[in-house]
Amino acid sequence: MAAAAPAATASNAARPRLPLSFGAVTEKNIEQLKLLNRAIFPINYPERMYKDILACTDVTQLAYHNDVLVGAIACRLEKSTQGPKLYILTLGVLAPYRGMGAGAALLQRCLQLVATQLPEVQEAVLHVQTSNEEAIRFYSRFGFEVAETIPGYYKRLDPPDAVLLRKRLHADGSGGADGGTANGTNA
Amino acid sequence: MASKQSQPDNRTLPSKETALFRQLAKQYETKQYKKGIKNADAILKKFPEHGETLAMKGLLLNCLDRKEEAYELVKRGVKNDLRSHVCWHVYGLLYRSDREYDEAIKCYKNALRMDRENLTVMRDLALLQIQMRDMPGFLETRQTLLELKSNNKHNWISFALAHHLNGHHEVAVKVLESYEATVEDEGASSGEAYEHSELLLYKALVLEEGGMHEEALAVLEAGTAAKRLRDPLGVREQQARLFLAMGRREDAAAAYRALVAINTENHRYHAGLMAALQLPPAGTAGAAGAAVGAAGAAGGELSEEQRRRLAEAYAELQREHPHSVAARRIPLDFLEGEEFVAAADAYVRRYLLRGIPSLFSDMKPLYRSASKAALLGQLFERLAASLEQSGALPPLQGAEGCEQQQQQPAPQALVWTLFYLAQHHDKLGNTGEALRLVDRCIEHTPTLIEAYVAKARFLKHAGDVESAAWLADAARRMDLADRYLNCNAVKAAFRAGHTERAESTAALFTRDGEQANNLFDMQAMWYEIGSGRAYLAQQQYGKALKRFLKVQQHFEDFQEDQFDFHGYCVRKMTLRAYIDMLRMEDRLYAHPTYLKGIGGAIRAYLQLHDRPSGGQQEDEEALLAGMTPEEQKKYRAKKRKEEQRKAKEAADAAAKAAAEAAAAAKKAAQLGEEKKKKDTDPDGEQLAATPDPLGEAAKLLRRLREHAGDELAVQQLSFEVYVRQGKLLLAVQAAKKAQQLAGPADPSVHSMVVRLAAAVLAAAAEAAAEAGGDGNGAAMPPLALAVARQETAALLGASELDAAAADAYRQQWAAAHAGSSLRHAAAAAEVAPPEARVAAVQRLQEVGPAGASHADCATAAELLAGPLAAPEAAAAWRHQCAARFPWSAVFGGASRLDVPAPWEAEAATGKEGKGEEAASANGLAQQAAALSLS
Repeated sequence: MAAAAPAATASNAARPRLPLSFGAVTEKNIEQLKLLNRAIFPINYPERMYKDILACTDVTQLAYHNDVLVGAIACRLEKSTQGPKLYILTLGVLAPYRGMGAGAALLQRCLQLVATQLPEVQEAVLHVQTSNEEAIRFYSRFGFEVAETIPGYYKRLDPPDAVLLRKRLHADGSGGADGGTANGTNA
Repeated sequence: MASKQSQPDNRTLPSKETALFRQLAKQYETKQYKKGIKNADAILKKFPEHGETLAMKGLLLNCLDRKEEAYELVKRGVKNDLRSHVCWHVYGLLYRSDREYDEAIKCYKNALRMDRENLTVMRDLALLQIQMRDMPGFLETRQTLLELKSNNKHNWISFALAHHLNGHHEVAVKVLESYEATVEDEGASSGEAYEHSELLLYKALVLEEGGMHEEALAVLEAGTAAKRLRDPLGVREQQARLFLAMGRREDAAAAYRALVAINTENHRYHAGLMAALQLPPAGTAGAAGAAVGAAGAAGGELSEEQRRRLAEAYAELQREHPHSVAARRIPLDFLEGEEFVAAADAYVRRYLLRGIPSLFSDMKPLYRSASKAALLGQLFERLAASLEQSGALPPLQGAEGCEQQQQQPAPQALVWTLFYLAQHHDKLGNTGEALRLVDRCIEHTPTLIEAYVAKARFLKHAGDVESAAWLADAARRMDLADRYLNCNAVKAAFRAGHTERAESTAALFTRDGEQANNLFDMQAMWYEIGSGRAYLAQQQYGKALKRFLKVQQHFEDFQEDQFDFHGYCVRKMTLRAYIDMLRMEDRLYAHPTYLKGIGGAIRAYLQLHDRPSGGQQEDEEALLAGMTPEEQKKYRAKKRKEEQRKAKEAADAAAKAAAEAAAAAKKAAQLGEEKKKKDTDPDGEQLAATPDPLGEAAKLLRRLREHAGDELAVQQLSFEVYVRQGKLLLAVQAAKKAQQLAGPADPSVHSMVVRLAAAVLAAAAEAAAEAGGDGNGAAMPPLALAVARQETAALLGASELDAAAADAYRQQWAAAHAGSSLRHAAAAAEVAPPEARVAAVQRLQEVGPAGASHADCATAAELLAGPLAAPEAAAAWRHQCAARFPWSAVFGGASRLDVPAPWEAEAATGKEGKGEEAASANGLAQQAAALSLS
C-alpha cells in the first residue's frame, strides 16, 4: 500500500531523550491512532488500513509521554513466499515531541518484539518517498537497505516515486545504531 | 409456646399437629419455604382456623414474595389468636420485611405483652428501636435484656451503647467498667485482644464525648503502657484531640507534628497543628477562618502577624517534609501578593512538567479571591511565554534545584500551561480566550483527550450544550475503555436533551447492555438526576419523576443498609466505627445529591400542577379571557373534575396493568422461575397521573425540610409548594427561614415575600367575604390568618400588612437592589404589578447581560417573553445577549460552532466530520515542517 519518510533532525541530537511508556493498540483506542496519523501525515489513510492494524495488534506500538499519546509505529504482517513479512505502515511522532529519540525507540521496540515473539517473520519492509533522504538515512541506521524504486507509487505526492527499504531479520540481532531521532514516516 | 388451655379451637393442637407445627417453624428458619407451606396446609386441613399456623403460613408465603396473601393470612391468624405472641411476632416480622418499622414495633410490643421474657422478640424489638432512633425505648429494651441475661457480654456492650446514645456518658462508662472487671484476665487469642482494645478505645471515646478529657487520656495512656491498644494511629489522633481540648497546646502541637510526619497529606492533621499553634486553620481561605476569631481575625481575614507566623510554620514543615504536597499547597491559601506568586510558581511546576491534569481543580478554590485569580493569570502567562520562547520554564526565584528543572525535556509543559490558562479564562467568563487557548492545546497535541473534555465544558458554560455534547462524545470515542469519558459524554448528552443517545452510550458500560436496571443496581445517581432533568426539560413528567424518585429509593436503601450492622458491630466489637456510622446515617438526607434528586421531583410535581393539561394552556388562556369571572369559576371547576376523572382512569388502568403483571409474576413464581420483579410503570405514567401533585410534592418536602432546612433551595421549593396549596402559614415559615438564610437583599427572597403578601391579602379578602356571608366556607381560620398577617408584615418590615405596605416594600427593594445585578433586576421585574412593568423591564435592560451568567440571561429572556409579555424587549434582550455570548446556541450568537448534524448518524459510522478537516489541516502543516528539515 504505502511508503515511509522519517525526517531526522541531526542538528538536535544533543536534546535529551523523551521519557516514554509504551502501549498496545486496541479497538478501544484506535481513534487516537487515527487522530495522531491525521495530525502527522499528509495522507488520509483508509479505514481498511486500521482494520489491518487491528488484525495483528502485536506489531503496532503506541508511545506515551506523561500518559499522552505522542507517537506510534503501525505495522501489519504480510504473506510472501519466504514466509511472513513485517510491513511498516506508519511511524510518526507529533511535531513538538520530535528530536528526542521517540521514533527510534518505537522502531527498535517493534523490531525487538518481532524478533522475540514472531521468529517466523523473516523480513521488515516499507516504502519511502524517493525525496525523503532523511527517512532513508534514519532506517539505514537500523540496518534497512535500499531495494528497488517503484515509479508512480504515490498518486497525490510529488515526487510520486517510492523506494522499497528492507531489512533481513535474524541475520544479526542488533537493530543497528542507537540514538537516532525520527519525525514522521508515512506509508 | 405459651398457655394453650383456653379456646381449644384456634389455639391448641393435638400432639401430631404440634409436631408438624414445630417442623414447619424449623423449615422457616432453614428457608425450606415450600415444604413449610405443605406442613401448614396439612395442619389447616384439620384445623382451618388455627391462628399460629395461619400466621406462619403467611410468613412463609411472604418469603415467596406473595405479599397480599401473606398479609391476609397473618391478619387472620392474629385475629383468631390475639393472645399468641407467635402471631404478633410474625405480624411484626412481616411489617419489618416491608420496612414498616413503626408498625413492626407495635406488633413486637404486643408480642412481649403476651410473653414478657421472650428474648428473641426483645432482641428484634431493640434492633428496630435503634434503627428508628427511639433512643429511650432502645435503652429500656436493652436494660430488660441485660437483666434477663446478664451473663451475655453483648448485652453489656449494648446496654453501654444505649446509655451513650442517650447522652448518659458517665453511666455508659460505668457499665463498660463493670463489664471489663468480669473479663480482666483476657486470653491470649488475637481476637480477644482486639476486642479488649476496641472496648478500651470505645470507653475513651465515650469519656471524650462526655467532656471527661483527663479520664479519656488516662485510659489511652494506661492502655498504651499495658500494650493493649491495637489502633496506634487512632490513639495518637485521639490524644492530639484531647490535648487540644484540654488546652495543653505544646503537647497538642507535638502530637499533631508527629501525625503530619506519619501522613503529610492529611489536611485534618494540618488544621490540628495550626489550632495547637493558635493559628486559624489555613485551609480554604476565607469562610473557614471566620469561626476562629482569635487575634482580630475578623471575617476570615488574617492579621499580618498571623500570616507571618503561618508562613514560618509552613516554611518549617516544608523543610521537614520536602515531598509533602499539602505543605506546599496550603500556604497558597494564606499568602498574598509577591509571596503568593513565588509560592504558586514553585508549586505548579511539578504539575506542569509531569502533566498532571488536575492542576486547575486544585487551584480553583483560590479563585474566590479576585486578586489571586489575577496573579495566577499573570504567572501562567509568564510561564507560557518562556516556554514558547526557549522551550523551558523561567528560572525559579531563589531555588537551588532550578538548573536541573530547566535541563529536563519538557515538550509538554507548554501544552499543560496553555491548558491551565484556558481553564483560567473560562473560570473568569472569557469564553473566547478560553476556546482560543484550548484550540492551541489541541493543535499542539491533538491526542490530549483532556483538552476536548475541557472544550466541551467551556461550550456548556458559553450556552451551547449541543456542541458540548458533540465534543464530549468525540473525547469518549478517543478511548472507549475509559468509564469517566463515557459518563461525561452521557451527562453532556442528557444536558443537550439527547436522552436516547445518552442511554445507549451509558449502556456500553453496563452489564448485558441493560442500562436501566444495572445503573439502578449500581446506584448511579448522577445518571438518574441527569436523565430526570433531561426528561423534565422535555416535559415528560412521568419519566422525569420515575428517575428522580429512584434517588429517594437509593437513600432509603442507604438507611436500610445500617440494619444489619446493629447486631454485627456489637458482635465484632467495632464500636467506634458503629457510632460513626449511626451519625453518618443521621445526616444522610442532608446530602446534596438527595436534594438534587428530590428537588427535581418536586419541580416536576410543581410543573404538573401549573400545567396539568400540557400543551392546551394557551388555548385555554384565550378561552378564559373571553369569560366573565363566574364563567371562569365554573369552567375551572368543571375542568378540575374532568382532570380528576382522567387521572382516576389513568390510575385505574395502571392499577389494572399492575394487577395483570402481578398475576403473571405469580404464575411465573409458581412455575418455579427466577422471580424478577417487573416494573409495572416503567415510564412513570402512573406517577404523573396523580390527582394531587402538590400533595405528593409536600410529602417529599417533609424529610427534606427536616434534614436540609438550612438550604435556601429547600425553602424555595417549600414556598412554591405551600403557596400553591394555600397553606399560608407554612409558606410564611419558608419565606421567613429563607430570609434568615440569604438575607432580605436576596432576589429569590424578595420574590417570595412579595408573592406571600399578595396571597395573604387575598386570603384576608376571602375571609372578609366569608364573614359577609357569600364565601364557600374554605377561608382561613381567623387566628391563623392573624398570625400569617403579622408574620408577613414583619417580613415586609412593616407594622401592619396591607396593600400599601406590600407596595412600599416592593418599591423600596427595587430602588435599593434592582440595579445591583441581573438576578436582582429580574426578581424586581417578575413581581412588578402591571403598571410598573414597563419601568421594571427598562431597568432590567439597563442592568444588561454584562457580568451575568449565561443561565441567568436565559432566565431573564424567558421572563421577558413569558410572564412580562414584553416581546420587543425580549427580542432586544436576546440581541444583547447574543453579543455578550457569541457562542450561545440559546441566543443565536455569531460565533456558534457548527455541529455536524445529525451527529448521531455520523458517530455510528465512525466517520468524522469537522474534526477530520481540522486534524488533517494540522497534519499538512506539520508534515511540511518535518519534511523541510532534511
